[in-house]
Amino acid sequence: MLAKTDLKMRYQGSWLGAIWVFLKPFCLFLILNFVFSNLFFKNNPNYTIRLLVGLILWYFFSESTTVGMNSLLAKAHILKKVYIPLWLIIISSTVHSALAFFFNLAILFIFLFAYHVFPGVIQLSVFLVYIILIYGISLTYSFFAAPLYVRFRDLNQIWEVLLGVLFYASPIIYPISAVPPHVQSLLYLNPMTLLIEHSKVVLIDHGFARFDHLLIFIAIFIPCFIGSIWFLKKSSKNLIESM
Amino acid sequence: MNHDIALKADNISKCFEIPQERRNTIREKVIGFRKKTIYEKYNALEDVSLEIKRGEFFGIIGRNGSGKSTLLKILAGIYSPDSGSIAVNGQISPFLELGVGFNPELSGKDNIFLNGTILGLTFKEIEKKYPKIIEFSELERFIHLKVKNYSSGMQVRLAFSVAIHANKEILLMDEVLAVGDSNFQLKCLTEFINFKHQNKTIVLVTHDLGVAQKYCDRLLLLRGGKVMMTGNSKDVASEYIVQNMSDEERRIYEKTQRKNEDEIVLDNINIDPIFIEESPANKVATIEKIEFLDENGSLKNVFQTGDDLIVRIWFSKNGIVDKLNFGVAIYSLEDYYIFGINTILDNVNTQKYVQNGYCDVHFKRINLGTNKYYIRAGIYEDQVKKLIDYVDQSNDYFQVQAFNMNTGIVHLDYEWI
Repeated sequence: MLAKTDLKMRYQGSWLGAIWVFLKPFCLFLILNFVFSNLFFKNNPNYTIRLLVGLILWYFFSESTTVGMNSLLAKAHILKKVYIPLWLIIISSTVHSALAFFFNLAILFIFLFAYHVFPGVIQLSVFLVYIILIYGISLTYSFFAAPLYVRFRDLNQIWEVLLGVLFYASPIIYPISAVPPHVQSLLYLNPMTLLIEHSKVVLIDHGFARFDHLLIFIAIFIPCFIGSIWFLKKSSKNLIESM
Repeated sequence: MNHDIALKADNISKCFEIPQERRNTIREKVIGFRKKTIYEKYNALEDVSLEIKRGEFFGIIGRNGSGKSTLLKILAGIYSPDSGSIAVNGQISPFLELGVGFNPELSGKDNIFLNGTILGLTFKEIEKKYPKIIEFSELERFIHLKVKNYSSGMQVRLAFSVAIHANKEILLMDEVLAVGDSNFQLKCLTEFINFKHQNKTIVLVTHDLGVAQKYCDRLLLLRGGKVMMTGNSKDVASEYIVQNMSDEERRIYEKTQRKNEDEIVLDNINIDPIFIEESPANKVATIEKIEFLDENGSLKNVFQTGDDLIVRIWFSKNGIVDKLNFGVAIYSLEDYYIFGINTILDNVNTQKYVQNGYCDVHFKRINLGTNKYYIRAGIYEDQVKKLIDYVDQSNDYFQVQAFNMNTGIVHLDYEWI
């Protein structure tokens, strides 16, 4: 409910705002597609659609982490007057990014149809697991970063730079096979690498990505997520007065 | 916990650490990591315990910075106390102020839903209550307008009607009554009384002693973060007034102390224009100072309506003086001439005064309203027209505080029959 009103607030009086959600990633998509499909990856079939998968997932991640990190401070005026659980504020703020992601996903499916690579039900349900994991790591980050951001106000700039680094460290504009193997394993330190690469495999090649890798990923993710909830709970004490 | 108790707090303490130099960024932390951040500790609350019964209208009073709002925020769960525990029996309203999260860009209707959600209502509940909320706010015609186009009164009305329909068992309110006109305040209070009939508990933080005394069943007086007194509203309110008076007394005393220090420097420059033709040395008598005393003879500046007041005029004599006359006039700070007397008209033998070097006037039961008053005093020869010395020191004022909330300059003895 809070997210719903949040959404309403966001779009009331600024219909362009809703359009921007699509414009921003798609402008980037068009530019990157133009540059790379013509210059570097001419002989790569389906480069466009691979780029799109990567970009949409990436946008979901970067938007939800940024918004989630900002959420507590942005709602400081309300938090100081009303008791609302902090996790509720963080999650409701990321709902907007999730919604934008689902719109983008619809467009992606149109592309998948157009390129005659539309996946089957099993592939889609595996893809759903990846989406949930991306949302999960976004929340994990937000739970850690939102209370920290209250105390360290330059965290947003640091995260912006880091996002830039992570963008190029994820196989979005290039296939992972394009880099030498020892660099590949380095890239897998970035959580988005695995999820994006696997999504591409599942959605476009209709293959099955390494299941053991996914299990390891989940095994690392779950304690991190629980840790972030614990951290948020621990830091929520005395947080509001320092806003 | 006892079922009759709605809210219980045990030994709550809260201390704010205010860093003298705030380091809010990682950059600053890295640069200044060797310097230790110096914190100024501010004890907002110390060992506060309270117990509020179900269906009670409970007031919290105290001066600015006494910790009232902090206490309320801790009760609401916004702040967490450093030590101590809180037990809540029933649903507590999580908000302190009206219209939290109002968005001026949205319509009144949307804001009802937004505000309602923040206050913890579900969408369905708001939908059910929506007609009632609008009816109470009397804003049917404007409900689809954006809130930024509302007058401030309309905004408050809207906010209040959402708040009272939030329907919690325990209501916390911080200075709600400070806003809005008297009609609105009355409406709020009537609604609060209705709540009481529904056995709901209300905790109100207020400055308005009148409201506190009239409506609250019990009051809690905070001072410097400590509970000074809890009890029935009349006793606590009078204690509060007495405390304010002694604070005021100290303030005036410190002010006069400072003034005396300044005077040493200023004395040579400051020549009263009225007596410019006659230097103090040539005067037969000079008024030195004016003091205010209570009936026991101790110095005092703040009085209650109905107290006794002694005005003492200190003067010095030059040479041999056998007859002097005195006049005293009381003015309010707005320069209303309240009362004046003199020894000639009252035919008083002033021989004693001349010997003592001061003149006392005992005003019995000063029936004055809450205000500041100052004295104009004069020394005359036999006739009133022959003025020897005169002071008009509006800095030497005394203050009167009335217990009840009546208005006007004077306090007449009255009785409703």
